Amino acid sequence: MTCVLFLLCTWLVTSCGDTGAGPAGTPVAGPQPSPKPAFTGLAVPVTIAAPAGPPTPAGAELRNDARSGLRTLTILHTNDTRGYIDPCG
Amino acid sequence: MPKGGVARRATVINGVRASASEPVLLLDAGGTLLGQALADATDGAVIVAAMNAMGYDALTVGQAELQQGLDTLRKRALEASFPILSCNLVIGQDDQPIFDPYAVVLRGGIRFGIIGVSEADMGWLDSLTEVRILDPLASVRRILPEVRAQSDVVILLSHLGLEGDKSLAQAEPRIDIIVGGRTRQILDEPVLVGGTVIVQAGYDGEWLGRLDVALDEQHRISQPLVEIVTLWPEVADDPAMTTLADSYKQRFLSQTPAN
Repeated sequence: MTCVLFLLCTWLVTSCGDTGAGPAGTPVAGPQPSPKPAFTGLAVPVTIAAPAGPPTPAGAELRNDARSGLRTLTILHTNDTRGYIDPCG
Repeated sequence: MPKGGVARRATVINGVRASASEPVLLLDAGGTLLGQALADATDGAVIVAAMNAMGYDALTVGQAELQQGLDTLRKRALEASFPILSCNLVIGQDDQPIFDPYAVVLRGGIRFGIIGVSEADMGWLDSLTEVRILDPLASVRRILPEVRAQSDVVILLSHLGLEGDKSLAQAEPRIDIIVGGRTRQILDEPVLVGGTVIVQAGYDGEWLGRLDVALDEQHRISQPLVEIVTLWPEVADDPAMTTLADSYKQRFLSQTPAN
């Protein structure tokens, strides 16, 4: 019984803390180390040489930057889709 | 839940175009026309039809494009409203290019020179004895001055794979952007080799890559920004694309005997 109460108290404390609690009723773990970026795929991007110049601005600034006279070009691209029409084939 | 599909891809593409006030290109780096049931049943025709409907600007030839032979790909090229490119696939004693080595697309007053390059090691070509693959770097270098003279921005549409793209960019710095494929990598950051920006967007149609770059008055690119859009089920299906796909399914799959 004491063990159950202890676990319940622990859950209550952590779910109300600033550790990114989930929806109500969702068990949340204790404080986590610094979060890693979500894994999105297979490759680890490799930069061989970065061009000199100002740091890359945020996406919104790039896409709406009319003040400097720069134009924004957008390239949409796909590769190796292997004939996929829809997730069923 | 399964990701991908041309109907979701069309929705995202249409959304980008609708909100863009600047040029938008749509490119495919190969390995696309064949490989799944409906695509194979139609010899790639359904994929070409879908790419026509989505308004693709160019496709480069990878191994998958030649899976059912050269004549089949030539038929698809006639049906495509976009150029199918390769600067290093040749035929005959005079090494005549089989496809256009490049295309110049004018968009928003900017001339985009798009060069296609195919991988040098295609297993399928064992059965296509009349086709030869020339060295990719030498072929790109040979065509590049002609393309540069007609273009503001030079894009290499490559099926060499990421290592091949990096090697080529190191050897040939006059290329602005490499849109790559073959190694099926999801690059959520651009790979930078000198001044060349390299991108790649996964495989199996589950992602759509987006590269935004700034272009100055001298047509120099900078500030590359990559977004990899995952085509989750939550992305709505474009109705027109769904209708197109369904029409091909009814014609080509409904009569397929059950296994």
